[in-house]
Amino acid sequence: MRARNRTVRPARGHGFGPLFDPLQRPEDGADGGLESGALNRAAPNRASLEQEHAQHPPVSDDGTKIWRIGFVGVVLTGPLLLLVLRLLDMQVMGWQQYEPPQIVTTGRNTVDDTTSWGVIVDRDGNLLAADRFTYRITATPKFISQSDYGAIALRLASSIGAPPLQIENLFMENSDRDYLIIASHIDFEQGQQLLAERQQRMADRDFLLKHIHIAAHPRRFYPQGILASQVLGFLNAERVPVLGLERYYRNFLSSDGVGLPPGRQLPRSELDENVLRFVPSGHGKGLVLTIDRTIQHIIEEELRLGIGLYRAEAGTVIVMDPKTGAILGMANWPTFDGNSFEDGDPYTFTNVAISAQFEPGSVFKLITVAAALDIDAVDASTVFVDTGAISVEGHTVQNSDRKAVGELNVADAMAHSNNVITVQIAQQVGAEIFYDYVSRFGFGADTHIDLSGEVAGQVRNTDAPNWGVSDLATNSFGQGIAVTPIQMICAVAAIANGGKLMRPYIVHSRVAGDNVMVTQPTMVYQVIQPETALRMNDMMAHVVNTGNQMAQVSGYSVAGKSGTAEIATEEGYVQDETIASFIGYAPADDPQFVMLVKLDRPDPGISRWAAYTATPVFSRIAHRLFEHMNIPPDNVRVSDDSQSYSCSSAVDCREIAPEAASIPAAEPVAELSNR
Amino acid sequence: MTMALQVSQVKQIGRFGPNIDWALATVLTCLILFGSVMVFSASYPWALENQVSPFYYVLLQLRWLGVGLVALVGAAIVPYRIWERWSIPLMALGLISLIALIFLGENRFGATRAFPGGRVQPSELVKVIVLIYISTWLASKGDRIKDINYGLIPFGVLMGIVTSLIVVQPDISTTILIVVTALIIFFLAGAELKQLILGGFVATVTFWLVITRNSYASRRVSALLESIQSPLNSSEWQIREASQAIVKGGPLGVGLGNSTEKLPGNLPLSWSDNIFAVIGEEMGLLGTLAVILLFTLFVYRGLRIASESTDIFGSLLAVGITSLIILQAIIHIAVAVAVAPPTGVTLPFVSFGGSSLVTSMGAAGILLNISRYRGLPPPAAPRRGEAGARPHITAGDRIRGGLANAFGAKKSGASSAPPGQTAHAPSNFGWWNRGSHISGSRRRRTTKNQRSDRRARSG
Repeated sequence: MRARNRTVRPARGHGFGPLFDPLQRPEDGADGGLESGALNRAAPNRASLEQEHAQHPPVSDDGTKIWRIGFVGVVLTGPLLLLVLRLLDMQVMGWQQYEPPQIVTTGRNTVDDTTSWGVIVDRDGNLLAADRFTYRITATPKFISQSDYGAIALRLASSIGAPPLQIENLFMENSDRDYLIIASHIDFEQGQQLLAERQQRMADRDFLLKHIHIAAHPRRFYPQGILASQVLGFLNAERVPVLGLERYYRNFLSSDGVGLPPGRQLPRSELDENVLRFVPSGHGKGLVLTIDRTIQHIIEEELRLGIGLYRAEAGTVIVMDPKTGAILGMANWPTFDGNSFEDGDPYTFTNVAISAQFEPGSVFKLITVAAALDIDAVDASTVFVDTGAISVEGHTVQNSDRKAVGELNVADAMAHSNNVITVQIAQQVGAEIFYDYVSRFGFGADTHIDLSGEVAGQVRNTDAPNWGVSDLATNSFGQGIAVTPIQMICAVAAIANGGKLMRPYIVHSRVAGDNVMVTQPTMVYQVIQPETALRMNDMMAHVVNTGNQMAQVSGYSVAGKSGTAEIATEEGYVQDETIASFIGYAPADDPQFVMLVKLDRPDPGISRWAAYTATPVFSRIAHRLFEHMNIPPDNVRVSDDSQSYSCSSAVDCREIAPEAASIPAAEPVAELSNR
Repeated sequence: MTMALQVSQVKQIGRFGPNIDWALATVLTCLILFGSVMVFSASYPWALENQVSPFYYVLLQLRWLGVGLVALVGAAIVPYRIWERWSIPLMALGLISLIALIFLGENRFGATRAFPGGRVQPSELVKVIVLIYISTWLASKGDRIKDINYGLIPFGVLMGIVTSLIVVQPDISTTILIVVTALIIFFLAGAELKQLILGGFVATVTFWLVITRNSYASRRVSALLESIQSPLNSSEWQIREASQAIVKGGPLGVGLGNSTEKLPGNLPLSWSDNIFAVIGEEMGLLGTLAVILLFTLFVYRGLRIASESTDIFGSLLAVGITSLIILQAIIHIAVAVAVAPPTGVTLPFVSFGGSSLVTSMGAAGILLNISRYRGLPPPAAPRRGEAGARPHITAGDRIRGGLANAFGAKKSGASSAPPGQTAHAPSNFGWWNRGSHISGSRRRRTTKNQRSDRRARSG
């Protein structure tokens, strides 16, 4: 049977069947099989049929053909069935669980052109930054016929304030363009008029202005001009915040940004009435700064005058409340105007007070002495011998005037800004402890002030690979170390504040809708003991009284220290190029403000010493600050204070008087930085 | 359902004769009309965005629909055997156009798939030409394809040439379509199982190599593997947007015209490559299942036409066309539901796209033409240059037609063949009428397979 089957099958001359051959063979074997039976019956006709086959092969053995087609059907519909299951899963199960994706608002760098921003006001509610709407006029010249150019230009000229011919030429030159900006910032009233006229014309079926588009765009406006411009930063042409507060608080200020962080919130009415004149903005956001517009104005004016007077290249003044760390004023020169940043020099955009490092010079001696006093290595009256030069590992340190003074106690050495004795003091302290204090005073790390663009400075401590003993010597009087002005003033503010290093901040409160979050002053470290701070205070007052007399303000006790740092260049230190700085606070017994004045490269023809450049500037500003801040002279103030009749010095007064300002307990820094 | 579809068979409408598959024509009409509506719905936001009339794309689509209708009617009138006769010149034309594309083509969306102007994509047409050629070739080989030298090796070489020309575009999805369709035809033509497995294995390995060597493809495939589990969080933008559209639709959809994913900037090419996602969002599960149902009916009718065709070429071609269109639909839907990597495959009859629509409709026309001859003798292939069906029936046709008609008449019960032809009914090959002409004792011994065959035939 099988043999016959095999002989028969090739003769059928078609291809269907072999695939299922194994299935069919048993049947064949059993009773001759259906196929062979059928074929046998048809045997008489086979020859003609074979011929027919050769001509026209029939499609298939019907059974296997149906089988194969059915199999193809399964192959084709199987995936369709799986897709149906997938669709059921997605459109029934998935649909029930589906939540529309949240719009991601955090961490974005670009802001939509139309996003409005919150306002920024100073501590008294004076407007520093706000959005103002201006109109932008654009056109589609492609759709405007040439004959209309003249009429359109004539109409636009009165609104834009440009000659009609110029506008017409603009059209002519761009006649095939889709988009043409005719004017970017048209006054609100002019824009409104033009818009109304366009609508009127369209209503009257007059299509002259059909392809002129007038749209309002928010534009950041800084009513105070250059005042505090580097603190504020600015929004660029794409309304992307650049530097400063605008950058740091971009997620808060933008209307689609985040709200207040979790924490203690007050009702808006808790704020001063004046402050609420402009706050919050239309969309409910606003920042109230610790900056005082008047103080800012004073320091900017005096800084400009001082730079002019001493022909310096640049300068920085920071005024800070030592008890809280609040920045009252922060000014740099040269600066720019946020309203016309396009015209400004990009180098002036950076806020030098936080993002430029310099060698502090003698001011840094305060840190060395504070460390020495805090560990009781020396006393204010400890006497050292100045031989005019001291050699450390082959590196010779001389005094700035290249003279030898002989025997001096620590207080007088500070007053005379004696390098040699400072090196000896640092050696008494020891490198490990000295650098420990340096880092505890906040050098070499961000102060975490809420401004964008802060740098950390550079401190090479004993762990640094190329550190040598001579580095301790040079660092002790502020050379070979890079700090930022904000770090320096914070360190001195810590001395003024009983040894408590405060985190500097510039936003007094954030207003979002009806809620207000007031920034809480944050203590970073108790850097030195309060007693050490008082002894430092006395010593710094002594410095002003005997060394930096030009810092004095009549009637007030001032504490401070000047510093003249030689500027490191590629050729080493250049004699005549210095950074002159003075840091001081007043009144010495109850500091109301601490101030840093820094002048870059004062004209050596006048003086290259801080004592004759930065120090007088400090004095002038301090004088005006006493008036503005209503600080009574010492004699008035001390006599008013019945409890302090018996004090003979500031140290004694502090011991009797209750704690002047209750400083809140230190909070985690992270909470505040989580804006 | 089956009844409703079969009712139309007995109608005699117009010159298409008694047998033309009106059920298939109905399915096609539904798909095309539904497609036009969806193309309009999906494309008008983009048209508005580009400052043209909202009807821009749908009017373009309707224009192509006109061309496609001409192609469909033409292909339905011309006896399909003409394609067998013309297969070699057509194949030459297809190969030339593919080669020309390499040199003249215009690079769009990272691939060279269309001639300058972006209007004509030759690979759409080549798909059908390859089908015709393979069907002709396999039909002519007859039993010999079991021989590896006549079957697999020339088949492999042929497929290699065609696919490599398409892969270089690169258009991997079209290549997959052609190869899978060809394998299905090869299977149906009676290929040995081991040859098929070997061929499939070679094809799989080749594709694996091509995909891993091609950074464009491998990136998409790897993105897919990551995102099958949670397509909504996929890193691939297109997968994310498409699956979002599908999921948003839910059971009943957001309503016709209300899709948000089709808006400019979300789902790209929502009116062609991703139209199923828009259907899913606007019509929901109801709409997507309706589309799948229509395509399932298409498979059913297409394979039924193939099984009823008395001609091996017609059978192979019908299965090929059905497979090609359904595979395309499967890939398109699979992309939308994020189980296949994003490819540029359109949903046949539904998506916007001139080449695709005209080719699909032309192919469907061929299918309809094959359906005209079911149970009838296949039309003799006219000689080249001799267009149209011959009005007279030759003697050979009569014999064959009689044989086939005896079979067809039994099944449909509505034979329209002239009496003269039925005279040949008793002379048969044996396997045509095995089901009914065997004696009662034989019938009892039929296997389960054969019973199910009968059920399938009569159902």
